[in-house]
Amino acid sequence: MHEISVAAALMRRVLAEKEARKLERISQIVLQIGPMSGIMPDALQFAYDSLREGTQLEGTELVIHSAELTTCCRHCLHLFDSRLMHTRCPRCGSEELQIMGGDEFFIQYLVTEKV
Amino acid sequence: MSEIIPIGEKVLSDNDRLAAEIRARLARLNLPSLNLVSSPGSGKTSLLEKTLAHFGGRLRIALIAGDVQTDNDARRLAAAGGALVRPIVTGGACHLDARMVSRVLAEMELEGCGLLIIENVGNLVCPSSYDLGEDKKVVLLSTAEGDDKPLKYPAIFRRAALLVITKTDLLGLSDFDLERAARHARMINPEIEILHLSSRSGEGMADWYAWLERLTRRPAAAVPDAGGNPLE
Ligand SMILES: Nc1nc2c(ncn2[C@@H]2O[C@H](COP(=O)(O)OP(=O)(O)OP(=O)(O)O)[C@@H](O)[C@H]2O)c(=O)[nH]1
Ligand SMILES: [Mg+2]
Ligand SMILES: [Zn+2]
Repeated sequence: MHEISVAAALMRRVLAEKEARKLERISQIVLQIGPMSGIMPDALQFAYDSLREGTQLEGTELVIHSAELTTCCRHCLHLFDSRLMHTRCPRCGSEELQIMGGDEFFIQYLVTEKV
Repeated sequence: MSEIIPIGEKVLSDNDRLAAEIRARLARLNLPSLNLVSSPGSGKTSLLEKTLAHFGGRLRIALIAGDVQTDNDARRLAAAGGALVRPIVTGGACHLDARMVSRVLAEMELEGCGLLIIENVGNLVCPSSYDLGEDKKVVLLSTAEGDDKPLKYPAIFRRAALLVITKTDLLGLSDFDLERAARHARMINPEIEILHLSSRSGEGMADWYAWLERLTRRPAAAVPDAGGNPLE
């Protein structure tokens, strides 16, 4: 799994932001992750929680918002949101579906604490 | 007091920046490039061996073969006639990243080459997150795997320009259904092109060669800006 190297890249990015913006303490990192990103949220959370120990981010929580997929039925044009892949339209039963969105993988925001 | 600092930046932006540099260098050389991705054993190296034999001296193909522990694939490709083959042994990493590719490319004599092909580490998940600066990702799916793979591992199918269904000589030995595989891939990515072939029997190989020839006959491309791959 590549979530270890992704977690390491995430920490480098956040520390660079901290430095550049002269932030004092970061309490949360908030990520947006979509099902088409190729990143498994649980694995990333686990990797981050193991890597942060003993670093400047030891006290910083990782919060992951999962983005949903939008699926469109090409037959009846029904649009529906879901996290799982559907192979049939729940309205008309057609298999001609198109899955849109879900590529998100970015840092949405950081929460900082001023002392 | 808490404060919210909006960032909105991609987590792998360091990789993307390096990939954009690679893309610009390849564009200056007018060298088309592919990144081949599949599960372990779907037939990437076999397809490249046949491809080298087919084009022979007519097309100089530069190759980079990524592997976790060995340089076996690079050796196979050199033995199959590859004149410019470099291994990347990742030493455990399950994917290639732009830094590894950039380092190897810096030492390659790419002048005179008509095509660059990167064989990624056998893995259907991790390589999808890393832009290597290639023009197109090609995903291979063998008929020995399930035709629901595009739905299970959608990220790479979303980003690939071409799906190559391999080992069609084995069709009938499993319940793999070409049409269902194509439908699932198009659900994820309606633009994806699809070929099916067998490196063993030779069936469908002419379509693959024609696809490569179209790619190598492209007009000189404008150097892309550093925006990288718009899908990522
Ligand atoms: N029946 C059949 N077997 C094939 C075909 N292409 C490759 N194979 C076999 O599949 C196995 C794996 O092929 P490779 O070309 O090494 O696959 P790969 O994707 O490069 O594998 P990794 O680099 O380890 O991920 C070998 O035993 C090949 O002989 C094919 O078209 N038909
Ligand atoms: Mg191989
Ligand atoms: Zn419908």
